Amino acid sequence: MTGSRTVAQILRETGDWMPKGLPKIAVGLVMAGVVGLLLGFFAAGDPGAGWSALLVGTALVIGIAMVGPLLSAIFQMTGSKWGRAYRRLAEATAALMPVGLLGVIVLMAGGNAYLPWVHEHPHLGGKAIWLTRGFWDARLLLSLLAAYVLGLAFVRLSVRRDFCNKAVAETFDGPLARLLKKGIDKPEEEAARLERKMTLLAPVVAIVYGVAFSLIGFDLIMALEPDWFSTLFGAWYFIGNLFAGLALIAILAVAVAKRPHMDRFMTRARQSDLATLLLAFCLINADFFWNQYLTIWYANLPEETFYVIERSVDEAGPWRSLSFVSLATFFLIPFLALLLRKVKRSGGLLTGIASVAVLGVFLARFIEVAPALTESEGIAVPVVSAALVFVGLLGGGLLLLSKVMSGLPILPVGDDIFVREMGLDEKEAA
Amino acid sequence: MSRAAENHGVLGSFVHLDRLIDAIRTAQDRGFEVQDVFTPMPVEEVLELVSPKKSPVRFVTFFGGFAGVVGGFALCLLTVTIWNIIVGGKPVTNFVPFVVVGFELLVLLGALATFLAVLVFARLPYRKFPGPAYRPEFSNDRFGLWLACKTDGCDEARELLIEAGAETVHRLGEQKEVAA
Repeated sequence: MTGSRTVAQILRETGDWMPKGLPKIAVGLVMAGVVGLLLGFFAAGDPGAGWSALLVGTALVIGIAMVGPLLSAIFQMTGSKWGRAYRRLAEATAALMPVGLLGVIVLMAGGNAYLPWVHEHPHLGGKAIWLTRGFWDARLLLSLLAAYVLGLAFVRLSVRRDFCNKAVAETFDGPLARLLKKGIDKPEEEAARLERKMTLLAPVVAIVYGVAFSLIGFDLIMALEPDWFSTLFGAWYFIGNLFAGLALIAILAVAVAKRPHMDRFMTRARQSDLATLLLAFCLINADFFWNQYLTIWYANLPEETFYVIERSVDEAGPWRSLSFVSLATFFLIPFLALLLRKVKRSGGLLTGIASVAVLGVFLARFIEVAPALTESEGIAVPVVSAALVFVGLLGGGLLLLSKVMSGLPILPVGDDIFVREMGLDEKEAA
Repeated sequence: MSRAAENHGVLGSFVHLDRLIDAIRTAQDRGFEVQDVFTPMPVEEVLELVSPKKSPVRFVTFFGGFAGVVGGFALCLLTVTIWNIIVGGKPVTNFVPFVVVGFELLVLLGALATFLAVLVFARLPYRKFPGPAYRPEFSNDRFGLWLACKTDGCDEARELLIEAGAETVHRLGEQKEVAA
């Protein structure tokens, strides 16, 4: 409870919310990404390692970019109160969208160099209609754009609602702010209209996210092994993105909570709730993994098992040990750690465990992609290259986030539930 | 809670949560025993103030879940050992399908153990509900703070509640009401 504070007071107090040196860190990460890309394409002696690195990074980043808008839509649908202070921070992950889109365009442009089914493939069968360049490109781009347009539209409504507040409209006056507050003549009526629109749009965002990212998972990753198939692969892919995205939001939230006055809103109790949600996604991610693995194990069909054997059973191959590291990092370690209250309430420990979870999802994607694309004997260069490209793309997103968010309020002060939960002056907030 | 203390003390009714929390802190600082707190919704700060000890329910949940995992794997292992039939060319004892049974029994026994532990530690069903201090407004828009006191300390407790901003103060056991 914060007493009866006004929005203007909160905007003043939380104006310096951005962690110090964030843009510099982001530039550093981008540089690391460039090094990773060069390493992948030129140091391994196998351009497949470069494509693999770019594909793994892009597959993760395009998904993580939608996690925030989706989380915000989930808040809207459920009417939940606990996480409202994180709403804007989550929505800010949409800044990764241009970076992800750029990655997808590069992957589409270079598709002929790494897609195994582009040139004649003996076993395509019925998939020959599905896996043709024009159709593949169109599906990938349209799925991504459908999800992104809806996600951005939802975030726009959410942020515009804040500008219905006089204090917000007066405090922020950058180009983005002017665009967002344009046409708000009757703030109260406009806020109510935006709330109705958000309520209508939220389930559409969630459904389109599920469908679009299932298709993207099939096309971007599963299609690299055209002989293999799993109907659950799309869901396993988008749940992994949600898990990794939520872990990154937790890391960012811990850093932002340390800034002046922010701990009043992003409290230890709320951080613990965020960690509990992370635990839930850790479980559901492991559940999808196990459902897929168990089905393949039971059926024991050669056209399904070869994929798993190459990656996790074959002791002569380089991938087995990495598969087990991945299982430990995306499930065992986060699961056991997040059961502990001490971990959930400690900023440092939560950051560490969330980083392990991101590493686990990254390794899972790498294990799915790299064996299909790389021919090099060692795995050190491909995995380091992919990791650097992934952090480089994240850095690009962070750089955009720091630019965009410097002109917007970090707390959703137009959100009625946030206003009530934080004990803000409701008349003033309206 | 002693049986003698069950119906005695001073009850303050608060409009604002902030005031209630301040009152609890002050009462604890001055050595009063907080007998009970009534809130119309769950409030973590209040819970942390009046029940700082970690709940013993979590240990029962852990042992219930642990028994479920061990029981689930044991059930599978013993079953396939007795009915030693090879199905689908797979080894009779195998970790992969046992996980499903182990996990399901973990959830079942963990949940049942938690449910029973809550009943036992919360002493439910509470036959004397709603009890002498409960007021219908504590389920609507007021917060209640019940301080235990002996006869000579009750005046001090009443003054504490009034100073803390209680809207009304009741002396329990005497049904005397003092407007704040």
